[in-house]
Amino acid sequence: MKKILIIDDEQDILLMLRKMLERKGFDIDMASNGVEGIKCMRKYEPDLVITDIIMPEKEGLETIREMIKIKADLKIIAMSGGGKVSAESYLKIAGMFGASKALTKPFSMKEMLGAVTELLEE
Amino acid sequence: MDMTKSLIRNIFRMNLLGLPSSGRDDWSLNSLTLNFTGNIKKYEIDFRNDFFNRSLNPFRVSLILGIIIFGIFAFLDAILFPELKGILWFIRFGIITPLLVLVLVFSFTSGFKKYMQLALSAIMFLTGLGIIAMIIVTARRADHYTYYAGLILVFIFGYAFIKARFIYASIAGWSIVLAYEIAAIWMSDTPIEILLNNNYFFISANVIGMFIAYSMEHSARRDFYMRNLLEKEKEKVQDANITLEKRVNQRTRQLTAANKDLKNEIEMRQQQEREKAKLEDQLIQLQKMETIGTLAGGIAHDFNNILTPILGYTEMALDELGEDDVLKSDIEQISSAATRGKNLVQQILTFSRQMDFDKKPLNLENIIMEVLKLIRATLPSNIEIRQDLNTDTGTVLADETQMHQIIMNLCTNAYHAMKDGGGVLSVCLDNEEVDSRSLKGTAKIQKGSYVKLSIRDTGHGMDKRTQERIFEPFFTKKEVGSGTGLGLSVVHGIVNNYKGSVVVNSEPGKGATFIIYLPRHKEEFEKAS
Repeated sequence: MKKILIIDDEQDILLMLRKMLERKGFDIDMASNGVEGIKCMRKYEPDLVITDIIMPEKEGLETIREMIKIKADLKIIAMSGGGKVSAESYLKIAGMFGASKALTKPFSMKEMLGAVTELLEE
Repeated sequence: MDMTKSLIRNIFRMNLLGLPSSGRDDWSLNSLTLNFTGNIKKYEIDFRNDFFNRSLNPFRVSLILGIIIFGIFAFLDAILFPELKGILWFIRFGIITPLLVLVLVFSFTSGFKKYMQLALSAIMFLTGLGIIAMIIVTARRADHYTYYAGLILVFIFGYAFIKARFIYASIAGWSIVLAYEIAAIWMSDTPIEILLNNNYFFISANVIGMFIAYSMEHSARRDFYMRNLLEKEKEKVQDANITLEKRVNQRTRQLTAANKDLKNEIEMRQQQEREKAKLEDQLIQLQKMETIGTLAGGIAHDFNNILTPILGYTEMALDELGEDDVLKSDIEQISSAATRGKNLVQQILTFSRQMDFDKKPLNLENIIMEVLKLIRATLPSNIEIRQDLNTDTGTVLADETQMHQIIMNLCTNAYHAMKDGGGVLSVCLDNEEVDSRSLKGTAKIQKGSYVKLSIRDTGHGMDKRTQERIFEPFFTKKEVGSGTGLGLSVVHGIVNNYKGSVVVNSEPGKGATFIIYLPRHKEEFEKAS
């Protein structure tokens, strides 16, 4: 069973994604910020990480960079609803830092599942 | 010596004759000849000419009077000396009267001017000699001395009436006295008491006569001098008047010019004030938009986070439900509302310039044609579309979707403005070189080459207040439900993002024109030129 780590400071999004992905048969762990996310990653050793960009404690871009340092071939999906800069800009940078896919919030179930399936099937 | 000199000077200064002075410092006369001296010496010739002109007629009148009176005395000759009247009348009418008449005739010739004073002293002296002759004749034959009074009359005439100058009259007067002395002493045995008596009268008459002549000439000279001064003062006053008038004219011209300058300056100031006020309005507008933009960015982030679980759960729920489930349509409603929310956030983001777009050189003409094709299908038949597109405008560096969006937006607004009454929708595309002067009204636009897109409707138009607010987000004049009110603020946001400008010209009832300036793409521009 493939393991997915979801990082987001929004509890609603965490729960929604967990439900969505568990229904498709994935094993899920969750973290609510970057610091916590990196701890989980070391312990849990997920196949895929889905992370938000703008978060407290440690934000997404830095988290992605550190994770890639720990595990170079880690598959990461970055997601963002934008902020001071547009979601697209964040996600472009996320891609440069090592994220495999980027999704703008709100995404459709199809988009998310499509991305997850694509990355895990490789 | 010095004391004597100053004493003499003081005696003259004391003005012993009591004559009025001119009151001027440069007034100075020779005490004996009465000629002008010192600073006013130059007036002497003028004075003599003037004096001649003034005294010519009085001289003739007094001479005629003298001839008549002299003639009348012939009766006295006849009464007093009937036996001597022959010789007396010979002297009277044979010598003296013809002499006087000759001088009278001479006075009508041009040469008289030069010799007048000489002629005057001559006739005075010769008449005196005539009288002396008569005195001698009457004294010898009749032992009679009363004709000496005649000499006194001669003195009176000579000094006071015939206008002889003081110096000439004096010489003639004293010559007569001398001639009398010679005649009385050597040509007749005049008794000493008669001689004494006559001399008393003659000398007295002479002195009085001199005094009179002196006064008269002095007055004449003073009058002349004063007239002269007056004339000069008058000229000065006239000169001053002319100068003053010139200066007044000059000043008036200067004032008029200054006034004109001032008016221009006031106008310029007012213009500047108006432009400043306009710029301030635009600045405030810009700041407002920026604040709203920042706010919108924050709201968009939160909204996206909220919408993510809503959409996710809705989709999962729909996935679970069978095709005929009663909840399906309800949940579909939620999904559709959430999707609308998602779109709204996208619009807010567009407006707040937080989306990065794919900029590339675009030919607006193609996009306009595409939009018009779409619009034409939806427009009612009472709205006509006119297009005037310059095919050689060059390109703008922009995102195609956004260009599509702003043109669509403005065309839709134009359609809404003409929905009820119909009209004409005109779309023009052209180039414009913007320099600092033509910037009036177009905010925050730099000098350079622009592609200018005008979209004009003939609809209901709008007032100034509305024009000021149309670019604010959520401002709408449409009925509730027919638009978000974001359209024009999105247009504003996009155009500003490309360093362009949107200008609106409108009046209530007269339609509206939206003009969009977008910088012409440089590379393309250079290639073209």
